[in-house]
Amino acid sequence: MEGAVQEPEPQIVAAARSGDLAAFEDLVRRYQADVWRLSFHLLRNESEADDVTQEAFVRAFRFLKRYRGESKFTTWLFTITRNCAFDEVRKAGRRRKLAERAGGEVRLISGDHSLRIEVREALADLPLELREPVVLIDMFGTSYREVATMLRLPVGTVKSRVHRARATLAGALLAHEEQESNES
Amino acid sequence: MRAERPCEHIREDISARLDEELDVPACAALDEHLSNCAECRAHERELRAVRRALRAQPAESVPDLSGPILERVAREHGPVFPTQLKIGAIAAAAAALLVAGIGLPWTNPSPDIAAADDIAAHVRAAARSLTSYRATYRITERGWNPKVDVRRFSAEVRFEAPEKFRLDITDETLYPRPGLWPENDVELIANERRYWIKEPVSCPSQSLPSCALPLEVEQRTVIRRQPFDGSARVPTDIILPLETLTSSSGFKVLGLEEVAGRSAYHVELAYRQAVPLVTSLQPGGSWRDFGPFDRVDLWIDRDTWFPLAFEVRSPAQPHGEPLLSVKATSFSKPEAPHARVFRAPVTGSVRDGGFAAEALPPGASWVPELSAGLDHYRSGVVGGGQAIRSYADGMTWLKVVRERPSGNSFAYRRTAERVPLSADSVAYYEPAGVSSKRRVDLYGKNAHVYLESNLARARLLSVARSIAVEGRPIPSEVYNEDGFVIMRVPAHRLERIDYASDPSYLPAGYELSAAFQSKGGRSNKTLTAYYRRLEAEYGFGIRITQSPTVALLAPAPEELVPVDIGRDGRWSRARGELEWFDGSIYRAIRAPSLDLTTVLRIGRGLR
Repeated sequence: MEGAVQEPEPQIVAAARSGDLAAFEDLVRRYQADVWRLSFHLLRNESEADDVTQEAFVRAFRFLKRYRGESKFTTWLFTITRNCAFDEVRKAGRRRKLAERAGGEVRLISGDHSLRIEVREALADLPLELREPVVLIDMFGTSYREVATMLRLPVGTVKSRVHRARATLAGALLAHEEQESNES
Repeated sequence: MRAERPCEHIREDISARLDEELDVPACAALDEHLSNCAECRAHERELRAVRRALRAQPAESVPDLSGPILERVAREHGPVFPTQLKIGAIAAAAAALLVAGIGLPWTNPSPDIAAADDIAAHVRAAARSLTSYRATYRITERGWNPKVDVRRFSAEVRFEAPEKFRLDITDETLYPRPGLWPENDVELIANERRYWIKEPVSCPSQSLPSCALPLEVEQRTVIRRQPFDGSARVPTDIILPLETLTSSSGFKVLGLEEVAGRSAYHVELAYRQAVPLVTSLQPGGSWRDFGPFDRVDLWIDRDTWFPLAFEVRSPAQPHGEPLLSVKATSFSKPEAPHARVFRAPVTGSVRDGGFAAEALPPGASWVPELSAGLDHYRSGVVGGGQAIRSYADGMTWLKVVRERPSGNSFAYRRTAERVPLSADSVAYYEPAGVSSKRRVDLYGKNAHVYLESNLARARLLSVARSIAVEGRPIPSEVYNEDGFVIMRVPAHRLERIDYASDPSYLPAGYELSAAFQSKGGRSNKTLTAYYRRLEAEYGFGIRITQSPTVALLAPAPEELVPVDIGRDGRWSRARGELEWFDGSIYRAIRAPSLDLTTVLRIGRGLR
């Protein structure tokens, strides 16, 4: 994904707030892929991402009246998505495991560049506290301030975690390269 | 950890600067540090590579969950949706485009108008000034097949006046078993030279999915296309509902609805009048059918006259879910569309239209002196001896064709209306139909000239009047074999036929187009008269048959409803025909696109 996720037209959000299902449908069609991707990167499980995506939009419609535009619409929607993802894990009694969770039902999409696949694998191995900010920033173009709002962290902590995430990924990639050159 | 302690803090700044999250003084300090620290410079390169790789991740295949989401939302919040807000989103999207300066500047907002005729006039004017158009739509269709509740599509239309057109329909339906059902993806590209369409090979939708296997896609091309070629015409009513709204004033204006700051006229009409609009996004592929009485609600933007949305409903369920719903999600008037967009491939079955551009002498007798304000567009010849001269202005067009006189033309134009152009010249006029445009034929001594156009009838006839070819009446005998003769009966001679009555009532807009009397066999006499709408007839029109020699009603296999109009009165819904005996005279009215009440009223007016 290149650049930030686009914000919807304020009129569409306003119409959806007033109960216009067609306007809400616009929002669903526009953001369902982003919501699904975010869920997937948090849970690393496709069917759980499906459930969370549905739940997030149903909840978004329910709470839309309370959305007053203090934050960006996408920040608001991603916060709901995140909460739904945690609820999903909680429901399954796996709340504590989320942070350490690795592997699972990750399906890799073949790319033309091995670095991309390596990054993706390395990303899946990152602890959640590092994975979440870097996913939001690099894959959704969210700003540090927005991530700080969503995760209820100081901006400085976001900055430091993003760096740690990238440095860890860089280290993992370097290790992978070394391993490959040793093998060959 | 490879980083040494003094560098650790500065390395967070390297990462933040990649995200443009570092302020100017910190940037300067960072550059200072980097110029002296090779390790941090290497670290910067690594971070950059990681960031680039993350951002260049190929997209996951994300499922479309909008159906289940919306169903859940509707189930939980069903009653809260005010129907008048239904097109809020589209209007909002339109408004957003206007705000963003993509603007639609070619018509001015007009004061409140309510009359259907006014709306039709505005649409006509807009069709003259429209030069380019691009829009996206969302289509929802119900009732196509019992096994598929809802089909959803997205569509994109691009147009550059007068003949470049492109339609891309993408089927987004979640079929019960993907791979078994034909995906209804349709592509149509037309330009001045070619027409190309790609669509799934389908079969009657009730027999789906098994009948469509193996799934195949068909492609057809027309090369050397004639100007405004009838068999490869582009469906422009989705851009401006010109034919739909100007062909008859028989639509209701329900009001001006203010939605999200935009004014849209809410117009109601029957499917039989809205055929060009409803079918405009269905030039190929497989779609559900509609009945002539299905109700069409159309919201048309007051400033641009673009259709913002339309819905088709069964009259039996006026408040139910629409059978078809089309909503514009964006529209704009692109300044300079890429020529590539309208480049049509040559694949599949190829038909040669045979048209070759050629400069024709403008002074020829068959070339009209007046062209209703349209500019000369392109001219040429077709191998079979046709010369064609065409004119256009925006979406409005006119084509004049000259060919060698041929007896065949008569038979095809049987029900054309005879229109005197002058004391010495007569023309034959036909309204637009589902697959034809308004047409005027002039049968001259040395040439047959015909005009086709989306101009209104009156303007088309005035163009025909300016052609220096004397149109001659066609022979009144249209059939003669074994003593059975069919003769054309001019309107003024109808009253001389003693057994036939003239209808004292016809629904608004219907006029006599042609009448025939047949005689033969054993004193067999029948008069058949056709009545059609003047501008366009997308159905059968009205046919009234009267005969003093028919003694018995023919047995009919279909269900018949007895009606109180005379002896043996009966109504066949399947044929749309009312039959009865008025004393000894057999009378029948066939009008499949009118309801029984209206047909009975016509029938009672015959007495």
